[in-house]
Amino acid sequence: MTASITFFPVSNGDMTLVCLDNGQNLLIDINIRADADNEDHEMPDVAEDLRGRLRRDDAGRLYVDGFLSSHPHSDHITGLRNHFHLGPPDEWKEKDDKILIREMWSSPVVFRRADAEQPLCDDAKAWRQEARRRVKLFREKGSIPAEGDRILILGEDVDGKTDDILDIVVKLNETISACNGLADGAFEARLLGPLPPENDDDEETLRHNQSSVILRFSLRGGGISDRCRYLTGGDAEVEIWKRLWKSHGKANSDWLTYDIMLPPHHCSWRSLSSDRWSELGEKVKVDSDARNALSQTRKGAIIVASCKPIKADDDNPPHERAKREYVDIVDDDADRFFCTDEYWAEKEMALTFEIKSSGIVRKIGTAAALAAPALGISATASHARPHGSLGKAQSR
Amino acid sequence: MAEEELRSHGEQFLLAARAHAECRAGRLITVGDKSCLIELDLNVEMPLEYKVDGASPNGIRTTETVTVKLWRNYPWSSPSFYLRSDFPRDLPHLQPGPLTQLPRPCLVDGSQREYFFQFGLVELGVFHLVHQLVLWLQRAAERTLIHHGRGWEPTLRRDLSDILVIDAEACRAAVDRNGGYRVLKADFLRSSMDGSLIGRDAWTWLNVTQEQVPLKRDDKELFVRGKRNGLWSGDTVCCLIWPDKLPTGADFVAGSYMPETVDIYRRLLERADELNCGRALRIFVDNLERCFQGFNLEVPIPVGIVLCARRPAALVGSQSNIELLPYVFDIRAMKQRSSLLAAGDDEPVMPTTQIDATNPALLRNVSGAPAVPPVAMIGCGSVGSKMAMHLARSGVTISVVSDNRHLRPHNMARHALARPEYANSKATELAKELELLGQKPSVQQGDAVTDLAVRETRKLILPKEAGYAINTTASLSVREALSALPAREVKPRLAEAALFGRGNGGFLLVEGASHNPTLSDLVAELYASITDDRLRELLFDPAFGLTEIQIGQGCGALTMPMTDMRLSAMTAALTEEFVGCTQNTIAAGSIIIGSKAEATSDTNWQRQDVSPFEVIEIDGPEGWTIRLSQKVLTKIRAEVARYPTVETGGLLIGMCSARLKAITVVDVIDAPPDSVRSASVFVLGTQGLKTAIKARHRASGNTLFDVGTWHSHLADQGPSELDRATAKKLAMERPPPSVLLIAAPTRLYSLMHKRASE
Repeated sequence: MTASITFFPVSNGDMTLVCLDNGQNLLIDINIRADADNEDHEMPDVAEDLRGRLRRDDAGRLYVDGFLSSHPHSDHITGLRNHFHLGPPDEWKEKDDKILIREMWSSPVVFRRADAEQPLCDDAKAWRQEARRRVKLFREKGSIPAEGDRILILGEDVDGKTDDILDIVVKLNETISACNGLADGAFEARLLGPLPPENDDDEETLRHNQSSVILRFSLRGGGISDRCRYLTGGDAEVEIWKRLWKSHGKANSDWLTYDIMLPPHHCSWRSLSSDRWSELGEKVKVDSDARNALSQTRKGAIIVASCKPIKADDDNPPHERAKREYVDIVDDDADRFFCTDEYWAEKEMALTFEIKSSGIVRKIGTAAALAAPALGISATASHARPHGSLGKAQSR
Repeated sequence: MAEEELRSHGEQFLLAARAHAECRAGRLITVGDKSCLIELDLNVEMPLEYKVDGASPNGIRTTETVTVKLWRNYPWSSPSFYLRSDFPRDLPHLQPGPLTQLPRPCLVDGSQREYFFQFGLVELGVFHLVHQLVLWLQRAAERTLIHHGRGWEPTLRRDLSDILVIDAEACRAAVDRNGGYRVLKADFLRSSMDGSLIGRDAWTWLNVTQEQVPLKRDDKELFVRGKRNGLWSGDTVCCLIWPDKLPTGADFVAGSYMPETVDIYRRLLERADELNCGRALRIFVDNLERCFQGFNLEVPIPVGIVLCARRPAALVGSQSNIELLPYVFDIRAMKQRSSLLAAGDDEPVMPTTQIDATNPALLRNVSGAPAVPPVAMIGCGSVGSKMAMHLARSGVTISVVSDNRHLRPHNMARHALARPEYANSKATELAKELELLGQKPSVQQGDAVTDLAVRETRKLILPKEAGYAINTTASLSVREALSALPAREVKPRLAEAALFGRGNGGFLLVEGASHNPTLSDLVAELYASITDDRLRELLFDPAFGLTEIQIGQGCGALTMPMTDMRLSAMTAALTEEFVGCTQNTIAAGSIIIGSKAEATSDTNWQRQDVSPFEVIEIDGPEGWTIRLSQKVLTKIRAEVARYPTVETGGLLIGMCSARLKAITVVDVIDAPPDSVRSASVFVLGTQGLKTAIKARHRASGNTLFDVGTWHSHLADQGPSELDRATAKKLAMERPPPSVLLIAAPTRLYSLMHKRASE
């Protein structure tokens, strides 16, 4: 199997599929909006695209080996109930044909009580319920349950709430090297976030900064370890990145290096600076620590913003000033900055990079898939075409 | 006019090409009345770390400008694509060509024109060609034009006009560890004018055999040239050279890809040295010079050279890692010469395409057919000859062909062979034909029935190296002669193929492992199990049904009237079924039977697997056995279970052969209602029994009849006096033998009155 990373066009939201060269796959967040399920709607049908990339198990169930939810916001979890099987795996129904999650990767936020200020959307509630079911099963059994019941908690929770389940907890700054129990060197991922609160008041700051799971993957490609480094951090904003650089900038800046990065929070300005664009405009200043944390590039590195087309307006996210900063990070080479929705508008396909022995290569589509839209086949049907002898036809 | 048209084609081409997402720009360069030149700027995806440098380490740029040439007859021809003149040349999948021309990528495996045409819509064809070009450039940058995962890709030699025919597998088999060469006999054809040389608009076809020849000075037959059908032809040699081992004793492996660039003798020597074949090439050319010492032959004679390159991996689609690199050059033995190579080291040398001499392995590859063990053919009539040819064309070795009849004019209606004269036997003629497919079958022309009975001749008809022997004689005597053989005497698994009902029906029988069930058992089982009306109609056709085939054979020329189309259709399907049986071997025997629908060509095939028959020696006449199908045994056991406290029984239905000394039982008829069962005696009643037997006889096309009775014993006890008396009584009442079968709790007994067989 060729390892790859696919960024689905889900507008301001995240949805990334990491395929390992051992055949496993890990889905990071989803944003499958109801309109994307509607055939007549112009929105890309990302669910269908995703399903086409997955395999079925012996029982005929589509599955992902791992599903990471970076944080419980609707633009990162929408579509969970519609498209994924929740509950015990033996309750999977053929007629629903939902995708089985062999192993959940969840932030410890699932243990928190409902937050009055930021109520959870229904899909996030469903994620929390399913995560709790799986943790409960582990607590009862005392051993790692079977596929479809497994869960990893990315980060310890406060007040020792996860101390009794440390076998399924990944501690901050440690690495994960197995997905769904298979450790064969296909990847390693270092857990850099969510950051724990430093004191009682800090909880609020972190929440304000969209604390998310932050992972830096190192992927094997074409049999070569560490062929691609991928940094992904949900919606984490400036304060988080500042802290990361302060913690690791000196001794462990290598932990932040990447070939591909998903800029946090859909290319939001707020990930790079505390200054308000609405007040300062072009006078805003980029936070140097946050920028350092987000600019540890390897040769030829690229940045993929998962967001709607980026325009020079006051809208945020995505923010045009942020894009400029990211382009600057990639040596001022605009060809090394991608926007998922813009890519879709141009190519009508999800953006995929393959990780091969030769290196990381953007995947161009197959001729068959590209040809029909490019040559306008079916274009006759895209507009009403007036015909007939009315109009201005000339006759003598 | 042509120019205008070409311009419009060029513009249309650009529209389609620029629709490709990786095409950055494009423009018309020149338009003439013969061709139109276009440039395309293509984006080349490559690893991120190369992209940032603007080019891959091997020199492919992130944007490559490609020149496209549309020919005058476009879109009836495919556009040609040329890369920039300083494009790296040391890449695989570049078309072979001199340095003075722009490099051309090889975009598709096969004909580019066919590829271009296959899309129907011209724009779609253009789009796909551009896509292939983009992929080609990307792979060139990633150095993955050769996909070693699938094996070593042979050097591109397509479109070369000179051809060298040689059995590649035989060449590879000659390669040993030490290095060396072999001089092989060859003949050649050379196109056009008198003094025409290679490379000057002339092509050479070199046919190389595997026969080794010494380069003797006094051999006048070695190099000959004459004219045939307006072409030069003659005899020559080809030298097969394989690499010397390394000084360390290890194999020499040529691991780097070298595109074909040989054009003169000096480069051939260089190439040979690169492959560690240089020593042998020099020896061969020296010997050639010595061979001609004192002789003149002032016409060019082409000589073949085949260099064997040992590769680090097996070639694509092959088990072997030996790549053959064939070349041809001319020798001229002029009067005042310093060398046979007129231009010395600058003598032109042409790389040639190697094609395989016809051989079973090649045919199997081309057919995509599975491997089948060698087959012995018994019968070389129309069915047998066609089966043999079908199998041989799929690469199956035919180890022997047996038939004692001669080919006659009337055979031409359906036989696989057409012949101008009829002097030879069918077996001899079929063997000759098979030789053209690279086979060497032995020929048996005796009478199969006689020869099968004698050990020495039997081994010739059924050689031990054959995996299968197929009887296509449609002869009952041959079937019985085969079935009568003891299991240890039958090395190949036996099969039989025959047609019936004017070719509207056909069957294939394949014996079980260990010669059980036999072909005769299978035929009896077939008669017992026919329920399909159409099949019954065909099988029991009064003139040409299955039961009547043997008569046709006996009468010689009188065979079933049917067309070659019908016979071929059925025989082809039977052969296919046979090949299928060889792929999933089971212990049981198989009956495969097909019947064509009345009004259409639809043919319905049914398959039945038949478990080994239970064979019991009969108490009474010597050497007789009773053979019971598993179906019969199951029925008997079920009936016995129904009467655990009293004896029960019934009537045995089957066939009987005094030649096989066998009674074959394939069905039972239940005891009539007036039968009497008690703990010590079973009396078979008569009520309705005659009618039942007659009905069974008719239903089987008058083949199956009552061959005896069976009854149970409550203890493991053999025949009683009463049983013997009944056996005797039965024997007296009719000429065919009647058998008694006794089903005791753990075993079976059987008896027959002696006189019945006398």
